[in-house]
Amino acid sequence: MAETLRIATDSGAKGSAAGNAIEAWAAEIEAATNGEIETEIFYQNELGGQQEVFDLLMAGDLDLMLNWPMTSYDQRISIIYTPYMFTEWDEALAAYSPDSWMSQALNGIYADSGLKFLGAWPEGFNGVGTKDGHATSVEDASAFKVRVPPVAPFTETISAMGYQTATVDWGELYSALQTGVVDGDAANVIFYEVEYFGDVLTDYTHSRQQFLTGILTANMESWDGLTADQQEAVAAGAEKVMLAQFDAAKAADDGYVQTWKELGHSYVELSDDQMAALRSTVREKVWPQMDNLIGAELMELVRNNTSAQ
Amino acid sequence: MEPLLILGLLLVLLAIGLPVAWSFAGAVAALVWVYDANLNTLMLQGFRSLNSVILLALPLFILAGYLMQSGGIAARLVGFVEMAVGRRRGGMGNAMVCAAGVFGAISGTATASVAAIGTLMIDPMAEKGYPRGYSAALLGISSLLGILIPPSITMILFAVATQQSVAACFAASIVPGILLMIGLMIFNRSQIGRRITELGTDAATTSAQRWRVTVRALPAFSLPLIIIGGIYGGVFTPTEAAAFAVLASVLIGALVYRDMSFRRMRDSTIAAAETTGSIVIILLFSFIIGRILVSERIPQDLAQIVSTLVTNPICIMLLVNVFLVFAGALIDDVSVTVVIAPLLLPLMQMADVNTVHFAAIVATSVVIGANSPPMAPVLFMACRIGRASAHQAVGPALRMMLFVALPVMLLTTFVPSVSLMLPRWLGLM
Amino acid sequence: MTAAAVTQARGGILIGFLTIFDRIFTRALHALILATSLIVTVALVTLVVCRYVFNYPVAGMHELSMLAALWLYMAGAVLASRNNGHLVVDFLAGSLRSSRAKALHQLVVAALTLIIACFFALWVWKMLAWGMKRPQSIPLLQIPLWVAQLPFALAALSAMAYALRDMVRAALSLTRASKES
Ligand code: NA
Ligand code: NA
Repeated sequence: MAETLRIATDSGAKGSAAGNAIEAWAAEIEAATNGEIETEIFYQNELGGQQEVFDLLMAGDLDLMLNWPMTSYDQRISIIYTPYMFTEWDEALAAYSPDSWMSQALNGIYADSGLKFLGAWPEGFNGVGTKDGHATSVEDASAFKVRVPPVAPFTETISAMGYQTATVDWGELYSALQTGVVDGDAANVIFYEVEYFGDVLTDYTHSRQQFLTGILTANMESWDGLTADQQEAVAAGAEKVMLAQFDAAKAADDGYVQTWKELGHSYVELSDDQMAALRSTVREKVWPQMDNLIGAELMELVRNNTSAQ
Repeated sequence: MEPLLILGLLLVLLAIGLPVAWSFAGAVAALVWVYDANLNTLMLQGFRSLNSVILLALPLFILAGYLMQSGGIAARLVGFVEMAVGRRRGGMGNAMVCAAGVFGAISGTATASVAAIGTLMIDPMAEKGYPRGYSAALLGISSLLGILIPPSITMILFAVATQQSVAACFAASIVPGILLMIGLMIFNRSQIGRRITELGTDAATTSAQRWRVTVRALPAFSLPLIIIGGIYGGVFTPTEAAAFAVLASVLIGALVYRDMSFRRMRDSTIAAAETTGSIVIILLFSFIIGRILVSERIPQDLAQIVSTLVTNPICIMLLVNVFLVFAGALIDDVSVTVVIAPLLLPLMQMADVNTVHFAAIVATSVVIGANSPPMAPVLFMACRIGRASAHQAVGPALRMMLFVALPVMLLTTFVPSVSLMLPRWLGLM
Repeated sequence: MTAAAVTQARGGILIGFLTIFDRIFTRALHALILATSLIVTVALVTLVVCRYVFNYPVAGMHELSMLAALWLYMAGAVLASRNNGHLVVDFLAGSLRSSRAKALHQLVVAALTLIIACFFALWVWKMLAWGMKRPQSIPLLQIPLWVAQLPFALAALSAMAYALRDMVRAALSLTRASKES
C-alpha cells in the first residue's frame, strides 16, 4: 500500500514561490520512490494560521513542512532572527548551506522539538515598509510608528533602529495602515509588502536587519517511520528544492523589488556608511538581550561566526 | 457519503432540541470517529481559533451593548431613531439594516456587527411588534455587510489567496453590499402588515418633544462618533474600538445620564458574559467541523468534481454559485473564501470571469452560506443575542435569502459591472 | 427513623450541600467574569493610549487580553450551562403537551448532552496532555500555554456536571409525572 505524506506551507498560496516549492518537493519524493509514497499538499491558510499549521506538524498531522519558524515551542529558534548577523547574500547563504554552523545549530534545536531539519529555504533580507517617506538613520526613523511582529527580538531590533514600534494584529494591519494607526510595516521581506500592502505603503527601506528563511522540516516520528530509501528520497528532494531556492531567491527578491517600483513606489538601499552605523548600533543594543533569549552558548556561536564584519 | 450522514446527524440533534453548541460537538464526535482525527490537535486547533485578537471584538461589543442598555444610552439612541423613522412603514427594521451598513464600514467581520447591532436593536424592534425570530434573521443577513463593506478581513484573505489587489477586492463588493441593503429594506417594508404588525408608539409628536428627544440623544450619539472618528482618525483599530465602546458606555452612562450604578454594571457584565460564552462555544465547534472537513479534503475534492461537470460559461457560473452556497451550508465563511474559492478560480477563468469580479461573487455567496442551516453560525449568534428561538428565525432567513441575497448574488454573478464598475472607476484595475 | 426517612434525610443533606456549593461556585464565576472583562477592556485601552498619546509600545497587551478573554468565554459558557442559557432549536420541546412527555424529552436531551460533554472533556484532556509532552509558552508574556487552555477544562467538566443535574431533575419529574397519571 502506498504511504501518503502530508506536506504544507504556512506562507504561500497555490502558485506562489513557496507553494511551488512544496509542489516540487512532493514531485521529487513521488518520482524517487516510484509511487511508493503519495503526497497531499496544503497551502497557506488552508489548515489555519501559521501557529496552527505548525501545531499540526509538531503533532504529526502533517509530515513535511516548509515553515517560517515559530518560537512558541522553543525560544532558541529565534537564533535566526538575531539582527545584523550578515548583510550580504553570499554570507547568509554560506551560513545556511548544508553542514554550516547555522544549519547544525538548527538541526539540534529542531531535533529537541521532535522535528527533523532538512534545510533552509531563504527568502532574503528584510526591511521596513513605510507610508509617505522613509528613514535611513536612527534619528530619522523616530518619525515613523511601525508595526512589528509580536515575537522577540523583532520589537527590540526595530526599536534599536530608532522607529516607534506598535502592536497591531496582522488581520487589521491593512486598515491600520490606511487610517494611519501605524505608518509602516517592519521586519518583512519586500515580497509581503508587494503582496499585502502594495496599495497602502509607498516606501521600502532595505535595511537588511535580518535574513529571513523558511525551513524544510519533517515531523521526527513521521521521519522515523520511513524506510532508509524513503528518507533518502525525502532528504534529497528537500536538498534539491533548497539548492534551487539558493539560486533563485535573489532573483525572486529582485523581481519583487521590480514589481514594487512598477507600482510607483520608492525603494531605498542604504549606503555603506549608513548600513555600518545601523549595524553597530543594533548589534550593541540587541545582541546582549539575545543572550537571555537563546542562551549564551548559541549566542557565542553567532558571535564566533559573524565577528569578522 | 459520510459528510451527508454527519449532516443528517447534526440535523437530528438540532431537531431533538439539544443545544446548538452540543449538537455541533456531536457532529465533531462523529467526524472524529469517521475520519480517525488526531485528538492531540483537535481541541488545540479550536483553542487557536478562539485565541485571536480579532475575536475580541465579539465579547467587547456584546458587553458594550449590555452596558449601553443598563446605562440608558441605548434607550436614548433608539428613542431618537424611533422618532426619526418610527412613523415610516418598516422604519425600525430598516434602521437596523442601515445601522449594519454603517457598522460594516467600521468592522471587518460579521460577528462584531451581530454583537454590536443585535444587543441594541432587537429588543426595541420586539416592542414595535417585530417577531424576535424575524429580527434575528434580518440581523444575521445584514451583519454580512461587515464583509461586503470594507474593511473586510475575509476579502483580504481572498485577495491574498488569489494574488489580487486588496483595494480592488474591497471596492468590488461595495455595490453588491449596497444592493443587499436596499433589497433587505424593500423586503422588510413588504413584510409589514403581512407577517408583521407594527405597533404604534407614543413617539414624540410636538416639536418641543422632538427637540427634547434629540437633545437627550446627543451624548448617546457621541459614542458611535467616538468609534467612527477613532477608527478613521487613525487612533485605534476596529477591535480596539470595541474596548473604547465599553469604556465610553460606562462613562456616558455613569457621568452623563447617571443611570449606571455599580450593581447594574455588574449584572450587565455577567449577562453579557453568558451571551458571549454561549456564542463562543458554538463558534468553537463549528470551527473544528470546518477544519476536519478541509483537512480530509472533502470540500476540495467536491470542488474538483464540480470543475469537470460543465463547460458552458453560464452553466459554469450557475454551478459555482450553487456550489459556493452548498459549501457555505457546511463550512465557515473563512474556509469558503480561502480554501474553496481559489480552487474554483481556474473554472471561473474558463468562463472568462475576472478574479476581482469573482471576489464579489464569493462575498455575496458567503452572505447566504453563513446563514443557511445547519452550519449557520452567524444566524445562530443573532438568535442568541436577540433571545429568539432558532427555528423561528430559519423561515424568515430563508425567505430573505431567496428574495434578496440570492438575487443579489445572481446579479453580481451575471452583470460584471455591478462589481467591476467601482474598482475600474477608482483606477484599481 | 424508618429506612425511608433516613434516605430522605441523607438526600436533604446532599441537596443542601450541593446548593451551598453551587452558590459558592456561582459567586466565583461572577468574580472571574468581572475580573476578566475588566482585564480584556483595560489591556486594549492601555495599548491604544500608550501608542497614540505617549508613543510608548507597551508589550504583551494583546496576549494579556486574549488570555483573559479565554477565561471569560469559558466562564460565560459555564454560566450558560448552569442557567440552561445555551441556544436551542425548541421546536420539538414547544410542541410537547403532556408533562410526562416533556420530562422524557428533558431526560433524553440531558443524557445526550452528558455523553457529548464527556467527549468534549476527553478532547480537552488530550489537548492538555499533549501540551505536557510538547510544552509551549505565550510569547512576550512568557506564561505557560496551559494557563490559557485550562478554562476549556472548566467548561467541559461543568457541562458534564450540569448535564448530570438536568438528568436527575428530569428523572425526578418523570417519576412524579408517572405517579400522577
Ligand atoms: Na466591513
Ligand atoms: Na451555513
